[in-house]
Amino acid sequence: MSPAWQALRDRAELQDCLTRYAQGIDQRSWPLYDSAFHAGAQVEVPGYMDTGLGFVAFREMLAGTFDELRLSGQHLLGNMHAKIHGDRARAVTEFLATTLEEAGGSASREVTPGLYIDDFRRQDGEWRIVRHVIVRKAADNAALPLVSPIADAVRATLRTDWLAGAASHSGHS
Amino acid sequence: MPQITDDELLARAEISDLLVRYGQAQDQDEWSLYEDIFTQDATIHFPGMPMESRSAAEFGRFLQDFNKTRLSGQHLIGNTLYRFGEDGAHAHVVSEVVYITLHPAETAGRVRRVRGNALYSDRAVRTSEGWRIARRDIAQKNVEIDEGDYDPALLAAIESAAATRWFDDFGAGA
Repeated sequence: MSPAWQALRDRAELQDCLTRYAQGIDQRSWPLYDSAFHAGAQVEVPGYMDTGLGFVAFREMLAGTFDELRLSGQHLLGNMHAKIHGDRARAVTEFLATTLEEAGGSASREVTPGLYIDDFRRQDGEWRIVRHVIVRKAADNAALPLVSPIADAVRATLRTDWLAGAASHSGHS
Repeated sequence: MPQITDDELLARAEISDLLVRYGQAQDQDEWSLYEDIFTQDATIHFPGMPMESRSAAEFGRFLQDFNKTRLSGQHLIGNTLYRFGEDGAHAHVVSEVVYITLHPAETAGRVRRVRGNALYSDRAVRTSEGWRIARRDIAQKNVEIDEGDYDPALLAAIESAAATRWFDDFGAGA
């Protein structure tokens, strides 16, 4: 494989890894989330969680206290700038997160633009994250009238496994 | 729709990298990334806006000065459409952009938010050094400006992150 194709393939695999992370959180598909990390990977959120937390403990926080309020979420990934040196890589990626929360009959929407800084390692031929830093650039929260039929539509698809039945082409569980 | 050729796929990746470098140069204040995006004589245009067209180099300096007035910024680029000329050396590339910039407001603890939607229309050319943008048109679709209160801890985290050079400790020997 030529260096150009290898670089293209590496980048595609890094993007795919980060996409598994985002879709894992947004669709509450925790095995997909786990498949983005190598064992022992750390997650940091400067200004909120400066001491790194293991990715499993972070997942338990997301699936626990966060999901008690979260109705839906979207982490839109864009602009990834990556540097690759052999089996190590760092990627800086812009994201736009929108989270809908519902509590006590009222709802709110938080929009957070931010940056992911990821250190990747390729082990056994597979790129995964070893360190994930979440930087927030803003955070705007607004009360939201959650009215039908939109609210019903959001609730109706919350627990859908969109990848059920799809071929496991990448080997990730 | 005709199948994308290997050459076109590589060209798309290279042009996509130019778009990313532009966004990251501006948003992370990494101006070294700005150096290899445009041709030497590239120009930037602002159709419908009260701004004169200018060279890419001049616009880069304008952006660097503008960044001194802001706390943070993000230009999220998506839905890029590529149309290649038959010679394989020219391309017209159109991308959607969602952006936000955060500025200090006059009242302490408050920030001014500028949020908008825009479109980049880029004319790219293949040069001896790789693909470069020869002309960019920036079309505004929507701009919203408001103010809001910000938690001091969050503001401090945003300012600290904006001052961080994210690639500094990642070298070939690191």
